[in-house]
Amino acid sequence: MLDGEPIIQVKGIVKDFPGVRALDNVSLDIRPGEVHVLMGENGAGKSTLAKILMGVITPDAGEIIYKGKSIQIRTPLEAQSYGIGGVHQEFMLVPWLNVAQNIFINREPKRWKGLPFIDHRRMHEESAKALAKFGISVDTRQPVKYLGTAVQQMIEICKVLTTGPKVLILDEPTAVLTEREVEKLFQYIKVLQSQGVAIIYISHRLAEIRRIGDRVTVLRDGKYVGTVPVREVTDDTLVQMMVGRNITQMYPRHRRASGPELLRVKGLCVKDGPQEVDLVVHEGEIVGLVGLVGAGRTELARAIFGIDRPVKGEITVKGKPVWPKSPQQMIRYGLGLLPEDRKRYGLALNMPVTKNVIMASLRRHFRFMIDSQKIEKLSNNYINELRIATPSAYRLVRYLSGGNQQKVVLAKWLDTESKLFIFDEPTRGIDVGAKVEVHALMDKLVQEGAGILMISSELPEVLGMSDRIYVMFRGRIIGHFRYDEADQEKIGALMLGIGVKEADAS
Amino acid sequence: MSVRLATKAIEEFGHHKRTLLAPILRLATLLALCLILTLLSENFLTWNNIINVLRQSTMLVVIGLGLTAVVLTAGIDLSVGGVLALVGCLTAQLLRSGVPIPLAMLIGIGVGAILGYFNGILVGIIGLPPFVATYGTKWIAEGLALILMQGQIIFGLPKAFRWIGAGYIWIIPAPIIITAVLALIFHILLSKTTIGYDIYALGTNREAAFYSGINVRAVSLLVYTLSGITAAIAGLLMTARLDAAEVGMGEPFLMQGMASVVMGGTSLMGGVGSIGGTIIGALILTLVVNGLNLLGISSLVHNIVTGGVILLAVFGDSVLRKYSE
Amino acid sequence: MPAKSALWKIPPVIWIIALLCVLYGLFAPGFFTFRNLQNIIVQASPLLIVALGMTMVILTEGIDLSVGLTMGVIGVFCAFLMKTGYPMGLAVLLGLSAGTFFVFLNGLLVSTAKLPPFIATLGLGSMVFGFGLVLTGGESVPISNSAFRFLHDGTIIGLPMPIFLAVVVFGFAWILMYHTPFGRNVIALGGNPEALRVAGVNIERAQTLVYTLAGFLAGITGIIIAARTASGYAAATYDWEFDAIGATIIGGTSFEEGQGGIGKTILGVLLISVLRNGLNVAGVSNKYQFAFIGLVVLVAIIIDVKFRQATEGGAEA
Repeated sequence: MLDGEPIIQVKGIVKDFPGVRALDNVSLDIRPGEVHVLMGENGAGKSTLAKILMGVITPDAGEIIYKGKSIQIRTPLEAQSYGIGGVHQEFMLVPWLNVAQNIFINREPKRWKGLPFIDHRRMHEESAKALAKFGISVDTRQPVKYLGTAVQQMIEICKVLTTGPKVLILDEPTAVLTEREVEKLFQYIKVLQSQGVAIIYISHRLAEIRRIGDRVTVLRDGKYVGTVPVREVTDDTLVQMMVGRNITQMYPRHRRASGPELLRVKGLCVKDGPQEVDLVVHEGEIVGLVGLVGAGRTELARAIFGIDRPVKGEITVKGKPVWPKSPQQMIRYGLGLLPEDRKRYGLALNMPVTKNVIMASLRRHFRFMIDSQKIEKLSNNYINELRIATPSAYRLVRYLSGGNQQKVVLAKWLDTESKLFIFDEPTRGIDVGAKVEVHALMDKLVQEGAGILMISSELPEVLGMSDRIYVMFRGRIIGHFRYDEADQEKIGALMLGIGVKEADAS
Repeated sequence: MSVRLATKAIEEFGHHKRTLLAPILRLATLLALCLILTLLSENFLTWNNIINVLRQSTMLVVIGLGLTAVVLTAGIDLSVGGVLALVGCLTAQLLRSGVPIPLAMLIGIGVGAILGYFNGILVGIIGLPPFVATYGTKWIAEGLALILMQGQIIFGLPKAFRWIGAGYIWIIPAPIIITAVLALIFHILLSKTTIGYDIYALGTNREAAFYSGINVRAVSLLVYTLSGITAAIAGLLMTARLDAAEVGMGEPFLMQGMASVVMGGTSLMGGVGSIGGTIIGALILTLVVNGLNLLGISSLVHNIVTGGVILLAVFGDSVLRKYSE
Repeated sequence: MPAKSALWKIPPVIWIIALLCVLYGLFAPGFFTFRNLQNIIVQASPLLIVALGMTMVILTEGIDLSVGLTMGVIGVFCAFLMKTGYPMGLAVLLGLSAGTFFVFLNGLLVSTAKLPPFIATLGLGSMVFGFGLVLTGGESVPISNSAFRFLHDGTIIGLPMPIFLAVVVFGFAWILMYHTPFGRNVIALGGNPEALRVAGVNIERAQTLVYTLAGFLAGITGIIIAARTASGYAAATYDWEFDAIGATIIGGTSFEEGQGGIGKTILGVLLISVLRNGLNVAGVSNKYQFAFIGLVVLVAIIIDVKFRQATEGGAEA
């Protein structure tokens, strides 16, 4: 596209987090007026790179070059001074400040020059103007707390745009937006592009990349794979670059005839979540559950596991009706939940491997007095069996890598001898090697007669691992496929709600 | 086998610098204090004075036992002083009006348990921030004590009751024996049982504990109730020892109880700490006060010292934490 | 937010105040006199000043448990200085600065050393109290200076001094909170400090500043109380932080997310003042008030927490 001097270059960036190298010698250059897509699987290092450019974290090694000069970006303010701004992955709004206050945070127009008094009128006018560009008309005096996630996301984007950035970083900005808003955003990106603004766009959605991308850089496990012009590359090549190996190796699956019913959910409703959900899981099968962020998949898992109370519906486990009240109760019924956010819900990071492994099954082994030698032996068994890389069973879990942490969570649930597992994004943020191991373990579990309900955002994973697939959209199940009748296009379209009839599609 | 164990031990030593460094520092502080006091006063290293210091520390240790359990769950109990005063006053009133000693003590401990359970409901079930809930309970307990006493001081309690605070078993004071037994029970409960495991798990990551099927509400209720009970027992010990009860008797224990727990290495963030540490913390604090008295420094200064000690301990804890990361 | 009828928009605090007034009107004959009503406002004024500072601190998801003791010690300090011959103006200035400085240290402990606010303020409060005790040997120090007593007993343009001061302080606080970046910092420190940091604000400094200002306001209150009692006594106001926290929470400021504001605190202060005054007029002894008001505040906090849980629902996105 444009072959001008790069406005920003990064060279040999390295960033380590405890137990994992997030970025390993990554280089790329961004030119004015281009949309440069950063692509890669979850955990590939895209967001880490974005955070470094925005001054939220500092790299351990490497150099950033701005218009030919080597610079250091230590704080977000410094990034701003070079005209680098972006929408962060985390929520960066203050819930009880109003829309205008959030957009102009720390940049409020003053009533008199040199005095700290805020000119509220001008602030509201300019905020309304900025929002109007996206066709959004909200009361700018409202606290953002009361607004929907899509509008909040647009406010975050306006917050950046009002600083007049030269380099704009958008980290998966469309995840929570509706189609109409995505359309507006893309139009505006074109406008910015024509004004010479460089845009770094992080996404793994091929369709989006084709629509707005000029060049695409692929990262894998923190390493630079390559940069290619979007027009000269096929989807297959991109996927190949992203995944880095053959699909069949990634998903070691031995499908078998499924056994009797393990879990049946009928007409389940959760407040502000899943509505009228029906689904079944049998012994010996992996059931995929796909949908966009916010479609209600995690909420469904939480309701089945007794974390949030459902409003109505029926749940039967092995033919026995249950009304989920707490995880404690559901574990007794033989359920296990591997949560999406393992650091928050899955692990006690400041406890050793031993105490994490035993967390859900303590009372299966001991009534009152604990025998710590028995726990150590048990943990060592799992460490060997799952090949958890740790110097000892007493190492605090926080010092293990993401993949090994996930294996500890797995060990915890294996030790409960549960029959039915709900795996919520089981391979998010772990490296490819560990991914394959987790997949192999899932296969082994169902071979031995367990049933797995797997929530995942990665379609290849779902297609490669599942026996049956449910598609969720806005809280409802709108599609149900056997693995051999499903393909990426069909499911992808349904996830976006394309072609949804009012009647239940299953 | 032993070689493997030894290498593992060395490796883990390097890894757990903080967890080993802190107890060593604490023990060193305790020994240094003893040394200084021995040099300052020839009366320090005598049987009588040592027994005396231990006896002085008993109330603090007993309060610290329940408080440690609470703090391990990342909670806090600011009501211990209030509960101690209320139970002391109540029991004294009951004894004066002729209620049999065991019954009066049982009622006292029961009231402590109820107030603790109340804290547990506020924190574990309703979900108030622990310092708010227990601070409210503190004012309620002190208010009830005020109503109970109407401004008077009760003294002259039955001799059999006073035995628990001032009596002897052979040559060892009864309160020391009682405290040692309680401490042993708490130590075993926290370090060797499923309940203790739940307490540590809750303090390390409440959400993960809940997701793993631990009954987090029951654990909260339990630890606050335990704290209420130990505060009540401390109230009985103190009333018996002083042979008197008055509304303000719990005042110093809020700060001192917390100071000994924190100085004992129990982290306010939860999940880290032990009964042994709390005992050392209580001993250090008692020795400091003892030393100030030996030096003839006015008791008015005690507030400054406990305040300073607690800030230093918490600050040291957070510095050590940073260092270990 | 679904639309509600106008009646529902009236905060429950106002209903409770109204109910209390009716009850007291019926059972405490002296309640509805001009003198008594003016009295309530005069009593409420110092509480409002200290509660304004507390509200700001709580909005940052902090707490200051040292307020009561700091107030008392500032009174002692002023009394002590005047007794040793300092002129009143200088004594007040030094007293205020000393108090502000102590609470500034509090702010440093919370913001820079990252201590949990309740423990930092308890620990420092205990030390400050200790200094107060040592300074006077634990005794109350009488103040004879009539100019000093004017700070409570005098009137300005027909307004009793405490009311005048409360109005001035409130106006000052209002401008600070809602017309300068300071207020935005307060709300954001509680709501999402990361957003503030990313926007380039030095959040440690902002947090320290909030505590310092709260300490300054507590200092003013301490001086008014010393003028009222014509003495400086370290333990005189040791339970005031409880009223200040109570007024803040009853008013509708929450411990989480920076929700609330200083306007609401006026209502909380009024409720507590009416409650106390009515109990006094009705002849209920101080001893009973203690436990009773503790209970009222706790119930208000429980309602606040439960109400928020109910309106926000359980599910997280």
